[in-house]
Amino acid sequence: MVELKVDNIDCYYESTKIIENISLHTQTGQFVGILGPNGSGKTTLLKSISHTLKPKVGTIILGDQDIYTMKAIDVAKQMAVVSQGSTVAFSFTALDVVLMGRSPHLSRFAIESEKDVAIAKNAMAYTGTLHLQDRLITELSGGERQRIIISRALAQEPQVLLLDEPTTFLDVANQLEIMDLLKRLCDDKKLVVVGVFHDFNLAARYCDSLILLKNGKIVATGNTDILTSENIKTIFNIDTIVKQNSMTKTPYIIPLSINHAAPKRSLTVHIICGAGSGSSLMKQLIDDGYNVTAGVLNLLDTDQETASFLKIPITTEAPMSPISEVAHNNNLQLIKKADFVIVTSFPYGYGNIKNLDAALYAVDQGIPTFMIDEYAYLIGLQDYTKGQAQEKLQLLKNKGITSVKDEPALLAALNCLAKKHADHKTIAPQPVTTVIAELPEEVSP
Amino acid sequence: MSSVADLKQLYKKDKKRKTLGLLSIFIFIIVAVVVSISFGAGSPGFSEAANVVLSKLFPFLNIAPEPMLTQKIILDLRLPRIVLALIAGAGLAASGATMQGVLRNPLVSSYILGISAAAGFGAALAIVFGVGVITSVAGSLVIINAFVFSMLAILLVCGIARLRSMNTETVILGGVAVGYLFSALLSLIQYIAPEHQAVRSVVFWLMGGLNTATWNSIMFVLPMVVLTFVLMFSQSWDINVLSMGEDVAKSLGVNSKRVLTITMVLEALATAAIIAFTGVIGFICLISPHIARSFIGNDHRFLIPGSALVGAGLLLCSDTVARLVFVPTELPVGIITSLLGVPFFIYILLTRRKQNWR
Repeated sequence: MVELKVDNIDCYYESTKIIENISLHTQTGQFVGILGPNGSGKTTLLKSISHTLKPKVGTIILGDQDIYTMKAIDVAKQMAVVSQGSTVAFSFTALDVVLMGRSPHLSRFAIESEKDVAIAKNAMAYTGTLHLQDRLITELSGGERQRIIISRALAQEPQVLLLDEPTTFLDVANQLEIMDLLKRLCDDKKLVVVGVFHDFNLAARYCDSLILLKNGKIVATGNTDILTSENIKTIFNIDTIVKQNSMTKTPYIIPLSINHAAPKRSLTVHIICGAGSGSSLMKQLIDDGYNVTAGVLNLLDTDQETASFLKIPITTEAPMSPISEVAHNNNLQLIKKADFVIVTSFPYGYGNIKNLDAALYAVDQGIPTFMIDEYAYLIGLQDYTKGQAQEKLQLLKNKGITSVKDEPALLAALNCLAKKHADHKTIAPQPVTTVIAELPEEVSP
Repeated sequence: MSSVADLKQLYKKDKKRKTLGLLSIFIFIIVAVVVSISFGAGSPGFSEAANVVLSKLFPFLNIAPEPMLTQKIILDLRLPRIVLALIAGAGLAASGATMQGVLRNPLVSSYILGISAAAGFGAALAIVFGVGVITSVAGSLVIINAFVFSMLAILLVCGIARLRSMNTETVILGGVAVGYLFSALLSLIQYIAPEHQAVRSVVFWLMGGLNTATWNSIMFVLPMVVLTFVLMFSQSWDINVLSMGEDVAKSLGVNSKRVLTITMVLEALATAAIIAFTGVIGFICLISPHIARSFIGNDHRFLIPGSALVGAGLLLCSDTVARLVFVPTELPVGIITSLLGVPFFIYILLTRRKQNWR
């Protein structure tokens, strides 16, 4: 099989350097994804590999020959290109379009033989488009057209297939179908597939190796493990949570928009939460400029993962373990430093009932404390402590914890207090009830 | 999904449809030839014409010879005119199909690439001032001038296009520019021409006509048209690939710049050779490919010969009408090609099912 080796290439448009020192070595059957923001040189790299833009420095070896010493027609016998959103001026039938892939194998004057037709039809059968052969290419849907174009590439009988954003403009079902097809080409036909992609989740799921580009340079290259939050931050300047798709064991990336421009407040909010009930609140409070702490959270709890992603100071306990005295005391230390405390609604068991004691501590300390009562009426169902938790909740209410119905109401209340705080420079401990009187109407218990 | 055998059948059926289409134009042309040879300003009709042609083709049949005048009308007036109409129509239409395909533009014709204007300028130069590139051959000044200036135009276009990069845009823009240049020069000649008669001749030449057809002109035009046609046809697969876009063609190993240059030179040679003798007959090369496309499709291996047949039929038909409408005088064929061709073209535009241009 033919190997593709790109070594230290620099490419220019006129005198502008577009890509610099790019290397890429592929093995038979490898699916390589090129990722990077717009203008990072992905398409230029692909053009350079596809014998279209000769690099000023470096070599591109296909088999044992530098492609720029080969004739275009000889390169086309080994390497096929699916370029970006190709427009077709003439309406050819799908079969005619696929037959054009036989071009490099035909001599002048030669009309395609039965063999060429058979190869074209095999390619169409492989991509599941044989039934479209007599339809005009201009009448096909985007997904169908893309599969016809890939069929044409396959009719070239290439060993290397290059694709520029083959899934851009396609719906999600067609995207998966195209990617499945490309993966099959790698696995069954042992093709080397090099594709430019925009969707890093799609690339992470299908590609064997990745190249991350920024400003024409490689930021990272390797298997899908290089899709770390840090690397993605480097190339796209966005915050992401990188998880693992437990079904495919591939990275799964959730992009977030974090408001880094929010004015910082000198207020600290401590959240008593668990089981994911505090995650969205953490993000919103950070976006609003608060300092946030949380606890006690078990390791591997969703809230703990969020907190560690958002770099929030927390008190933790070992996974699946009841809150120890040490962790509880650490939690109380955090609460002591907080300007506000929030208790979210989450299920209570003997393991985490100490968190309600922490909330009682906060109320006793005179720290304005809120409880999100979203499903308070369900508390009976959320209480796995034979009523102990309910008792403590009742006690909290008796002691004057402020109950709000949901997160928007809570944020409104907090911002209202924060403004007051900003006006007085300092927020003196005061009876919670007086605060409630000033809250917006819908926040009142 | 249907079986592979069924699909093969379908594929063959498609080819059959194209072959059938080509065959029907062929029959139409034969009918047109028969009609054209049987009617005209002179008295000879169908039977006389048949006698003359048959006795010439098959001397052993011992057909009673027609009078000399009849023979002269058929063999030296009507027949060369028919043959030239067929050759010219075929050559112009094949060039049009090739250029529209290569430049991926449905509006391309020899007008657009400046050839017609340059030929007109060359002809006017000869008619008005008697100035020519080669003056030694008597009576052929207009023809040689028209041919030489046509080639000059296409060389200019190629040169302009090559200065940037040889692609469809630069060729079309270069062609339009060169066309305007020669139109301006042509107007200038007409404006400063000392004699009215000369200006009238120029105008008449520009309208085009086959009335000057002789076997001598055919001896020059036929080899040119055959040669360029074969060479254009040899590019037809590459033109197919090129119509998918220049990037795609490149990735399939087709050198678009080379194909573009070759076809442009071929188109210029064919067109220049024809219009040097006939004057400007522009519309045929624009419309014939569109008519052919409507039943043949876009595969240039069929489209180029198909367009040639359509062009041949269309020009012969137009010329016959031009000859017969106001017997014994005749109209310039250029007027008739447009008058006949445009309604037919619009009819095809409105009734075709397939959308051939996106």
